[in-house]
Amino acid sequence: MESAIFIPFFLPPVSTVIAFSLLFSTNGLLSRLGIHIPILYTMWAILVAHAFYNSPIFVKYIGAALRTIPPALEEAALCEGAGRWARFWRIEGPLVLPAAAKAFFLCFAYSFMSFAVVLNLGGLQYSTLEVAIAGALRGQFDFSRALTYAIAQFGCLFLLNALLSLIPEVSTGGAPLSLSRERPLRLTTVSSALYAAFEYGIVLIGLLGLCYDFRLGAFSLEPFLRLFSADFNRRFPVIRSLINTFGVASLAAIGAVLAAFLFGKARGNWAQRVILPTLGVSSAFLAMALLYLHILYRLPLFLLLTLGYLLSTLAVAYALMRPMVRNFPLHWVESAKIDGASRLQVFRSIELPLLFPVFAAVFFQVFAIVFGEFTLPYTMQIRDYLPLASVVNYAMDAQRYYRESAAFSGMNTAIVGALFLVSNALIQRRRVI
Amino acid sequence: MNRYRYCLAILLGCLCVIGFSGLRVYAYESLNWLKDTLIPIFEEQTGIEVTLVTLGDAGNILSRLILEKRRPLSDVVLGLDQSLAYRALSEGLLEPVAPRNADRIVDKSLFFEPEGYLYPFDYGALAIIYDPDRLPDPPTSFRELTTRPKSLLIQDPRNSSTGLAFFLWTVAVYREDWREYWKALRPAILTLTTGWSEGFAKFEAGEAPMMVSYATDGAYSYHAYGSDRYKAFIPMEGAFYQTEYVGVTKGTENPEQARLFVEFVLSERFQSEVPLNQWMFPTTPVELPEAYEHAVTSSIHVSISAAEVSKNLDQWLAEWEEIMY
Repeated sequence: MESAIFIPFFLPPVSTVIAFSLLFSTNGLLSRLGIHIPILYTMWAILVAHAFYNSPIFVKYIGAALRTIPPALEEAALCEGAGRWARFWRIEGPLVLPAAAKAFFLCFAYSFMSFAVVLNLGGLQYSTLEVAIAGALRGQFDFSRALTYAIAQFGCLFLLNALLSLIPEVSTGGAPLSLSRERPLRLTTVSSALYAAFEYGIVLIGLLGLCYDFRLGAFSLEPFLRLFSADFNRRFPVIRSLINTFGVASLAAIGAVLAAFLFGKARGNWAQRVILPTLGVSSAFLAMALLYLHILYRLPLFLLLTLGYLLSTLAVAYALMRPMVRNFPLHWVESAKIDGASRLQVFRSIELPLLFPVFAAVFFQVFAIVFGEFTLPYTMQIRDYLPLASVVNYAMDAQRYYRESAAFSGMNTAIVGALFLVSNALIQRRRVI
Repeated sequence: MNRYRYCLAILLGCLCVIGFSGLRVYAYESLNWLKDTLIPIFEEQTGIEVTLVTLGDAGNILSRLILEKRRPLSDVVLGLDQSLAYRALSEGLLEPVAPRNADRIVDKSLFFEPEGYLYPFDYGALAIIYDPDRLPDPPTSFRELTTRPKSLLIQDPRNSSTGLAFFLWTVAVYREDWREYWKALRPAILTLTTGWSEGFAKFEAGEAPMMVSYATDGAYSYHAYGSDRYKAFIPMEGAFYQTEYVGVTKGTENPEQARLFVEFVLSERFQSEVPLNQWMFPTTPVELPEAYEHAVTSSIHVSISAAEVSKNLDQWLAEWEEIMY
């Protein structure tokens, strides 16, 4: 259940924006229920959307850190008569702090580079560097301004990454705990329930768009079925976009997994120093570089986009893969080498079968990120050449095909959710191994 | 290993084959209606395959043309207006073309100087549209517009041709004092959208009672809903007209086919679809539908010369940005 809290993190940004407008617009669901929360185009909308997206990072990091606190420490504190607060301040707090700091930095970085949410919900006053870069490149074609922003963004995140690497890894040596033996405070239970309702409420609204017409207030599969009709596809290439998105996302995810595996095996910390800062590379700027390669050398967009996604997801794939690859029992590999196995044979017969669940899990997570990614195809404006699901969905909404747009968005949410569950099941299998 | 090599070769081969042939037409997002109406007719008439590439708003078309200046990927450009046309011509992005039916354009004042590059295919006055249910007493002037907090949707003049036209409208009305006007207008703006389509989506969703759009929107409302569900007004200071052009990209590999497309745009068949799809006035003699009686007009016209726009636009937009952010 806890790992399912990560689903919102992988939700396509366009789907989130659509879910927000289904909920909060003046004709939205909440308004119809008599609850007026006019937050669209304000700082509140941006904050709520980013909290929705990135808070699962905290749940994951802090949850994992809490479980590694040795029970002996807690028991000793209990014997000494320490209450909940004393234990929080002296044991849990300090031990969880490095994980919380990491989550904080990651959350900061993702919000700092946010694009689709700020573009659509930011309104008049609010922008991120990424939105400004895309605006400068798409609208006025002010290359030098875009470059200045891109360098500023990269610099900030490079510094952030350097700070992040200063945080020590805290190892308490404790085995993961399955359950707390104490009953949680009522406040904790209530706030956890509210948090889950917030996260899943938005996911559910997005999913419901698949079969529920929010404007008419009735269930209907008609908009969903229309997505696959020939007439509709002439204007919005839904089927082509799904095929392209599956193709690009699969190839990019395979590439990212293999590259992350190879870098993960590298000795020393150089790979980490090289790869993690790529998180700060502006996607809008990368998009323009790829488009220019297409214009100058007529390189196929499919290939360029796949490469672009491989580059932009490598850091995530590496971060997910590294701990698993590092902990891989080297003596098996060495024994095989002594027996004369080539690198390829070692990979095929030892590493691949044993790490397969890890490969598959990372593959699905990268696939889900690429599936919903919006910045690259939006900035490149390639919808008529190589339609991808995210931009086709966005175009439907922009051209007032709200019902179809909500249905498509719901379907994409369902696809990402299903991918996440598959990936999670594979990770569970790895734990068994 | 050979098997893998074959697979790789086939994959790369497939990727290279996914290319485009025929004519590429660059247009903006809200010209998307051409895809399932007029483009198939042109293809059938001429046997020329057309790819309509829609790029956000007209400002995006211009930046794409500049980006592709060395190796153009388009043949025809549809939808640049007078404020963008000047830059397109001064950057040398267009090629002269001589459509045989250019004399169908009645009002010669719509032509863009120098002649021979761009042909007007529609025009219309900008207006503020509003929802009378939510705004029973609409403002009547630019000044009054500033008194309605968070009620106006505008388009980003850095991206959108409608947004740019609205900005130039305010400059045409207020001249040197436009900066003060925008400072006063700012609180009245709910949000800024990247293009007209995104703005209209938000307006129809009821997010704001007013939006910068066109004087023909009353006609649209009458046609679509059978009533004046949305009304439009032109502020009493005067109307500002936007003219949209079709032209041929410099360096096109298909000049002859491109000329045929320009002729098609000026033809009776295309022009008669303009009023009820594009919601602008056609530039050639076409009988206007009844709904057009609901389009608003103004006897006062304001304008600004293309040369003045071109000379000052970058500076103006930088100042506008300072005021807005």
